[in-house]
Amino acid sequence: MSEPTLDAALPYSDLLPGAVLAVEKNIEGESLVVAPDQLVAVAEQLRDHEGFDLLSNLTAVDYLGFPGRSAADRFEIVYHFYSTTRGGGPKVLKARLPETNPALPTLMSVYPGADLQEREAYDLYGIRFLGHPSLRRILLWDGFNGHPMRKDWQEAYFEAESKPFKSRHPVGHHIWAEDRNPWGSNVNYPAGFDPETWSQPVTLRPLERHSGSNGVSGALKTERIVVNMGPQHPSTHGVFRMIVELDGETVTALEPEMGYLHRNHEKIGERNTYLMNMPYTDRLDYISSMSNNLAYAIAVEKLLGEAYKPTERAEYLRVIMAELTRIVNHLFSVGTFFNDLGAFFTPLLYAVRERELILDLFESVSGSRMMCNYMRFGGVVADLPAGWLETCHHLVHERLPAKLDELERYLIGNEIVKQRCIGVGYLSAADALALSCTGPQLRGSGVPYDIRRAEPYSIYDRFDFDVVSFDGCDVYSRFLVRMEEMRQSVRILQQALKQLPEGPIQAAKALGAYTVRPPVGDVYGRIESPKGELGFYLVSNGAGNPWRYRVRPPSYINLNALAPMVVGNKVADAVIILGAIDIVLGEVDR
Amino acid sequence: MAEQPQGAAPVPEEVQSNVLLTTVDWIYNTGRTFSLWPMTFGLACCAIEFIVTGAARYDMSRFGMEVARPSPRQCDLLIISGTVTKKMVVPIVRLYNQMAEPRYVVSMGACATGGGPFKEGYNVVSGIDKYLPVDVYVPGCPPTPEALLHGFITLQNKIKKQSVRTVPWYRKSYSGAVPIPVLGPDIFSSRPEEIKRVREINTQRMMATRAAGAPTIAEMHILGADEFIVIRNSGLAQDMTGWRLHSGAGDQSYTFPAGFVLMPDAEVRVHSGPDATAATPSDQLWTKRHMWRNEGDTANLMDADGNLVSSFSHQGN
Ligand code: SF4
Repeated sequence: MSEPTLDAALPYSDLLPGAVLAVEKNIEGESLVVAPDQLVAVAEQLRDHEGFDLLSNLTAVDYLGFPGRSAADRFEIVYHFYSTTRGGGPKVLKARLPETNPALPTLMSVYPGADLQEREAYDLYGIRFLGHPSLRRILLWDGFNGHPMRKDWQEAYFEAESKPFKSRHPVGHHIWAEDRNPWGSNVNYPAGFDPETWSQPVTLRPLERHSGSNGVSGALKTERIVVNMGPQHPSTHGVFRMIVELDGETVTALEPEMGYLHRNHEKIGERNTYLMNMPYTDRLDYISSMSNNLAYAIAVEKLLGEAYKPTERAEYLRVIMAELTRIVNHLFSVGTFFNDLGAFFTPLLYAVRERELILDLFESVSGSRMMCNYMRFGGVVADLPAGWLETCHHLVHERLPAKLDELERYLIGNEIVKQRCIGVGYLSAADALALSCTGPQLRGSGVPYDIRRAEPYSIYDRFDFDVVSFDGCDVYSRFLVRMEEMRQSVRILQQALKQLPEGPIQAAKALGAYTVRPPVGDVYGRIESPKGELGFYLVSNGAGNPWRYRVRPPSYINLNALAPMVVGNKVADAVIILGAIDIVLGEVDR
Repeated sequence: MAEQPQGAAPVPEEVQSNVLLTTVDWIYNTGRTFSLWPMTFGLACCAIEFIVTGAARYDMSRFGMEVARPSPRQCDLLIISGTVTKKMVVPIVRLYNQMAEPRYVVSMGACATGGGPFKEGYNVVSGIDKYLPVDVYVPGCPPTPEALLHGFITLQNKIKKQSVRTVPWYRKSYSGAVPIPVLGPDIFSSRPEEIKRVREINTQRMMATRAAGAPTIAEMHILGADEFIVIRNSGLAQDMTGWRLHSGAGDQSYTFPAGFVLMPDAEVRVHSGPDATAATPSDQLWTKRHMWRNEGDTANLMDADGNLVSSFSHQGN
């Protein structure tokens, strides 16, 4: 995997001597192994002199027991940087850390958007980021026993390192997971744990330091109060929780709290074979499952190489499904956004009506309305049933354009909507980039960055469409971006339906290939999902299941901007600002 | 007009043709059946199908459960629509306790029923029925809106069969409240019997690890005028009468005195060499001569029957 080059040839050896330790060639290109103490300097160089303005992906990998690795470089932190002005591929940095006390400097001084991803790496891997302002658990709770993504941490129902489990095999008898665990349930207490003498650890409440009198002199003495919203709250679109500090109606501080839907997607993904993960990706952003399928298929196909290149027809089918999904997602997102605004349920009813028609198409092609599990490595799983194209053609050419007109007529020019939305949730273009925002959130701040155009995947370079961006930098712009993107999706769909070729739907090599074993290497595949950049970072050790299976969830990372956007606004606006980020908790918490 | 029973209140003429006689149960049950108020509360993917069930195409208000309320105080029906995580089960149980009786629970989808595709996850509860009493399970991943509606109708049929005489919530001193679980190093239920069980199992496991342990040679300090070997007991108390410490290079043995007992977690040092002294029971004096080879040696510990229990090598200087 690694091929150390001569010292003289190392990049930055003149500017920052000793910063780059090695250059690794891998499937996609190359990555630089950086000395942890020089990381910030290299990142500054990338941002200020090379135009890599977006820190897209940051994650940790545990290489315990990986061939060629030792305790001295057990952990690896991987960074993917992109340039929104030039487009194109990533700059990959890696920092290696030892087994004992793994720590490295935070990147938040250069890329503030590293915040949530660093906290996640700390939570799941126990890697400390020195200088991070609030390095606390994020998906799990304070006091949780251990760091679960480490290779030597085993879950309560642990059975084997990789699937298929022996107990599920045709010959074996199925064993209840409950029976294997001494406690009879999905728990695992550390040795010596005694529930009676155990006491709750004191947790840090980040907002407490703000509360108290606001110090305004005068007759009227006011006090700030801390209000909890969620995890059961109709505005949070799931089980998200915000702790807000209010001065009257104005939000003075906000702390997002998540993990209520943390269902261990990545740990389960490491035990699954590559194909087994496909239905799990449906359940990430469960509103747009086809897009998730596409992103994962693209990442694995990059690992697998040319033999698994999808056929022409499959590429078109994928694009059709992905764009239909974008419409589904934006309809739902716009509908619920109006719920948040106070137009309770009526716009959502209109939006869901159209969504249902598309779900019918999904159901007839894949068998399921929401969890489509439609794509395979090297193609798609099923061809279109009879009559599908005609229905889709009608939808794309007549029904949807008309209904989008109708929605626009009702919603866009609406005076109340404008009053509520314009100027609310301000996020400047520079901030949006610094906070690693992608998708409609970034384009609503006037940055026309769309991966379909910047680094075209699949066959997006063949279609004629506009990258939508509005520079209001507010909630209204984000809403407009979504409305207009639906039109662009319709445009792409019209072209794709016209050009759709006949032919096989799966690459010859991929037919019936249930267990794929990609070569050793790591790869990052990404697409423009309806919510932003959805990426999969995969590490293969040559086995049938991934060594590391990491999802770069767009809505989780877009939440970086939540507190900066909300603070200073009214509490009712906090609800619509959150609604305009368009989070889905399956993806945020994974 | 029928004969008035004696002592009964007179029924006015104009009302008499408008009176319908029925049982108390029928009145109660019909009221409950067709005014189920579900809680606006979504957990995961299944919640989307729940929302769609309320939308125009499936329209669950046709069946008398139109009014979804975000406040648990106003709801009768808790729909567990998605994966229940350990972090989330604490608020769910709290919500359930906040609902007024009678309250019903529908477990929607594979996850809520048994953990579903995410069952093996470390943060996933394998079924909400481990914590709450469930009335109706709806299978599917996610259940289609039709399946959910079928679940609701099943619940309605169940309610229709209830009787005020047997339902628990009119009893004195009845409380349907469920103990709220606690997030410790892992989640644990705060029911006393559950705490007792966890304790017992943990003690058993500790005893089992204990019983598997034995005295072992932990350290060798063989360079110098006071050489000593440290033997530590990770198991239960051990009578070491007749046990031997054997030096590999010199083929010499030290035999522990009769009645010598090594307690759990205790250690004993066996000294040799010119400066060796021994004042306490945990320091045993072997001999005043050097017993270990400074170029490297191996110590073996044998029990009274001569079986090798532990062995340790020192690389020497
Ligand atoms: S049962 Fe399936 S659809 Fe429902 S929450 Fe679980 S994974 Fe999602």
